[in-house]
Parts: sequence; C-alpha cells; structure tokens
Amino acid sequence: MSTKNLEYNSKKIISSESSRKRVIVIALDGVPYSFFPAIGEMNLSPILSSLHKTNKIQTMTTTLPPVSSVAWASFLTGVNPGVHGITGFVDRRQEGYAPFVPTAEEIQVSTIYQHLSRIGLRVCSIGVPATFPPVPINGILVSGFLAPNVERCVYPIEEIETLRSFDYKLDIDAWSARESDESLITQLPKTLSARINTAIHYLNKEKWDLFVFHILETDRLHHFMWRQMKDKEPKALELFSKLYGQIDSFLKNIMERLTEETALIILSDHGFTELKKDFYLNRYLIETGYLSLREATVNNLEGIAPSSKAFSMAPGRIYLHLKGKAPNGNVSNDHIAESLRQEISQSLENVHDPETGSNVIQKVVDMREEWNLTGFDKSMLQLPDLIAIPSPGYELKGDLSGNTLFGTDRFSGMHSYGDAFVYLNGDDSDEKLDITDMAEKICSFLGVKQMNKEPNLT
Amino acid sequence: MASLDIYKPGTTLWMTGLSGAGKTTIATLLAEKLTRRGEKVEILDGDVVRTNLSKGLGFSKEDRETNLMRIGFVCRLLSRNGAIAIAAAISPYDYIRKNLRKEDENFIEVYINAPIEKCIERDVKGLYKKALAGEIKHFTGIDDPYEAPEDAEIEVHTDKESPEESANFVIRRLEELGRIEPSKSDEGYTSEEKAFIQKRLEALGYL
Repeated sequence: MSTKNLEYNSKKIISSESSRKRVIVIALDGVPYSFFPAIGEMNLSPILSSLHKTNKIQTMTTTLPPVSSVAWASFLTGVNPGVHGITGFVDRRQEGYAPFVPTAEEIQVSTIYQHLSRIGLRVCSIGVPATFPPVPINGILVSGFLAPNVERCVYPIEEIETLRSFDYKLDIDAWSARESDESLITQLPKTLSARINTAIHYLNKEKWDLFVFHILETDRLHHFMWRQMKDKEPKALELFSKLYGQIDSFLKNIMERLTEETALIILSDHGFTELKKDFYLNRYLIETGYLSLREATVNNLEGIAPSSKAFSMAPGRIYLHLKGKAPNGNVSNDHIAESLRQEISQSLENVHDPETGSNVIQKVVDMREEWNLTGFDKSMLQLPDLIAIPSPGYELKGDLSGNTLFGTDRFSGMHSYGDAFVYLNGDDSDEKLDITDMAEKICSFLGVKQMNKEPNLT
Repeated sequence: MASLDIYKPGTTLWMTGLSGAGKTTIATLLAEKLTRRGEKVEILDGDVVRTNLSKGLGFSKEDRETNLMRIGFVCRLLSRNGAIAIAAAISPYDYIRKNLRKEDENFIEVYINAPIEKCIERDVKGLYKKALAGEIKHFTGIDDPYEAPEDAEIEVHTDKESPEESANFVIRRLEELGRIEPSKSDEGYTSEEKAFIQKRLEALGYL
C-alpha cells in the first residue's frame, strides 16, 4: 500500500470551520464487545487486544432487531429502522402477505454515500449489507449481503473485471458449509483473503474520502462455530485463529500507514452468543389463538386466515393484523390494538422452556416507543408493532410450516442483542454510542454538514 | 426510495473551457437529454447573455468577472428552485470559478477540455483567425490566459469524444453525484435471483 495514496485529499471546497480528515471504516460483522477478553486470551488478534487493553474499544448499542441488513442500514443513514424502513431480511408490503427481500431501494432516507457524493467527496464501499442494487455514487460501490451475484454487485460495472481478477466472492456457500465443516474451513479463509486483497487494491488505487470495508466472514464463523469455540474444540479454535489472524494482518497493514489526516473506525453491528434452541413464534401465536392458518400447513404468510389477530416474521417481529395495513386486517381500532399488544407481550414474557424452566423471552418491546414513532408511517411496508427480545440462546423464527414450538438447527451461534463495539481513533470522548451515531461521526471527521437531521427524521 | 426527496433537485452546471471547445454544443445536447428525463433546464450561454443580461460589457478582466458573476447569480436562483442551470461560458479565471462555487452550494464544475490547437482548427466563429491576426485583443488562449480547473467534478475531452459521448458522460457523473435520479434500468431481483436469495437466507437460518 503506498503512503502516497493514503495522503490523497480531495481539493473540494467545503464550507466547514472544522478540520477535515479522510475516514476508513472497517466493519467486523457480529463481533461482540464482550468477546474482546477472549480475543486476548486466545491470542486471536494482537491489534484488537491491544486496542481493548488500552481502553480504546467502546461498547456500542445497535438496532432492534440486531440483524445485519437492519443495523448496516442504520449505519448508512444515521436513523433507526423505524425511519429507514429495513427491519429484517424479509418483509411484506401492506398490499399483500407474500414475503419479499427488501433491498436498498426500500431505504426511505439518504445514505451517507449519497450525502457525500452530492457534496463531491469520493466514497469507496466494499461488501456492506443493504447496498444492493448498487446505485451510482461518486466512487465505487461493491454491494454486500444480499447481492445475488458478483456480476450485479458493483457500480460502476467496469469494475467487474477487477473483482474477477481477485476471484472476489460475495459470501461462502452456506449450504455446502452446513453439510460439512471441511467446506466451511476451506471456504471462509479463501473468501476473506480474496475480499481483503480487493480492499487493499482499492485502498491503494482509488481516490476516496470515505473508505468502508465490511467483513462478513466473522458472522459466518460465529454462526457455525461459536459453541465449538467455547468448548475449545481444536477444529474451531484453529479456524478462529486463522480467520482472526487474517483480519489482524489486514488491520496492522492499515494502522501502520495511517496518517494524521486519516481517521479509522472499526466497529461491529451486533453481538453473538451460543444458540441453544430455535423458538417458532408463529407456532406459539397459533397455539395461543392469535393466529390461524387456512390449511394445516402453509409455507408463508399468504396462508394465514383472515381472522388472525397477529403474525410474526423473524427475528421476533410481531405484527398486529391491522385493518388498513393488510388486505384482510381486522384489528380495527386503537383500543383493541393496545389490548392485543399488552396481551401478547405478557403472554410471550411468560413462555418457559419445558426442559429447563428458563424464560424464552426476556422482554417484548413496543416499537412505536422504541423508534419514537408518533403514528403509523406512510411506508408501503408495515413496521412491526412489537419486537420480542429472546433470552440468550433462543433464536426466534418466523417459520409457519412446523408443528413444534422448539427446534434446533445446524448453527451453534446466534446474534445477541446490543453488545456491538466501536473503535474511533480520531475521537476520545466518553459518550455512549449507538450505530446510528456513526454517520454523524463520519461527517464530523470529514468536516461536512450532517445528514438526515430534519426534525421528522430524528 | 420513494417517500423522501433523496435526490434533491437543483444544480448549477458550470461549463468552462476555451472558445470552440464545445460548451454550447454539449449544453444543448444535455438540455435535451435532461428535459426528456423530466428535469427543468435552462441554458445560460455566455454569448447570448452578452446580448441581454450583460449587454454593454466588454472583454476586460473586470467586465468578464461582472458578466460571470451575473450568470452565476441567475444560476444560483434557478438551481435553488430545483432547476438545472447550465452555464456555458469560457470563464477563464480560476479565482472567479472558485468564488462562484463558494456562493452556490449546488455548483458543479464541468471542464470542457480541448487543446487550443483543436479549437483553432475548429474556429467555428472565425474568432481565432482574427485574434491570431491581432484584430481581437485579450482573446482567451491567444493573448489572455485560460486557467484550467484542477478539480472539476466533471471533465470531458471533446477532441477524443463525440458530443453524444461527452453529454452521456456528464449525465453519468450527475447520477453519481446525486444530482439527478439514476435511470431505473438495473434494479431489484429477477425471479430466479429471488428464489436464490430465499435459499441463501434459509441456508443461514435467517427466516
């Protein structure tokens, strides 16, 4: 990496009283703040351990639900999911019940990439979730999860040749990894290596004011190997060591070449914890009479009966079957809706695991209060009325096809709520930070006006 | 991205370049293309403005600055009201362009770059011939300097590109700079991709 490139500064004239820096963001998906002591004990990353030991790593709150596409959309926009509109990997529009996968087109406010592009600053973003389809920006945008393929993941399209030359991959083949650990062990380091090489190429070659590189592989590693790592299984420890080692070398490379004019942010989007059981929330709503199906087995929400009062989508999002928000919605007034919210919340907070007796659901949150929503939004999507926060170890699923309340899956790790981290090398303040604060931090470092600060967006 | 104005309208597109570089040609083509995309567009051509808004002004440095600041003032009014104002004026002095930028938050500089030899060869208005013969004084590029922009947001090379190519490149840069809404040719998932994504989410236990 040439120092010359890291010293590049845009000559744009920007109205600002403050000093300007360039900003590098390294995103480590699903690395918990609470994992840092273990990173040190296992000697996974001397760089991250050193930052932690010198108190430079801070805990950071994140979105509810703690899902990557939701959290990174908040990172990109500086607003909560109730405002940007992405609340999960799947969603439904008010006009029907068919689930669909929301893309960046559903984001209801400007992203920091659009904001900086309009000012004339250059952005290079690689692999950040919630950026497909890649819209034109003043720079390069390589979409992350859930871009369908490499061919459609990049703007400008001419950059496809560069991606191919590095054998760039969007993600591992998760089906193959489910079937064998060997597949996971082979795929993860290879995918990460190709993506790091791509990132270094663009760091060197491109002119940028904001550079963002998202590492998805930590999330995948944790999903597949979290319990095995906790149990100190050699195969898992070796893979953790290898992957974190790759990340450490990359971070070392970056940090050795930082100049005073470049701010570095390292952050995650959510924590991780051991997965014990899946809990099928729609099955619970069926058993408690809030949801009924047209047939014994249905595949998705299109199969729910008109008389249903509520339904759920993963993870733990609960929607009242409101009149005006769904074709057959029957919850017709605020009074009934309020009663249902209270009933369902109390009921869920009293669900116990019959095997252990422990609470399955820690708390149910009223999302109008959580997101400061004063009324129903104008979005074509229906925002969840409630979100259930599970006790650690219980993953809340939206599946409608099964007949049991509990189940298990291939995975041994699940997202935990909160417990994200952030490192800001140009900012020593002790303020409590949330992932929605990052856009503001980046604007401050860059010395440009803030975005999405209109009263109705905060 | 429908509910809020993410692509806030309004831009001053300031085209600078030597006489004969192609400013008016590209401005006209751009105006057609942008109008077809639903944008409100006005062209403020340096030559035309001198027959009305700046009638009576000459080509001294002072008069040139006055002329450009007047064009800039009108562009600012138009762009802040949502229009794309295309200024096509030689605007040879860097400090004047910087002053215009400072006063207009919607200012985008477009450098219409063509070598002086090419412009002399074109000599559409016959002005270079006169300037070279000494019949016109203070002619930019001949006996008056042209200070090329160092950091224009957009630069086109009219000696190497057709006017159509240059205009299309400007449109692409306007999309990248968030000044016009991108064309909707490549969005969302195809039905095959939807099924593939669904399987990926299932594989990762995200449903």
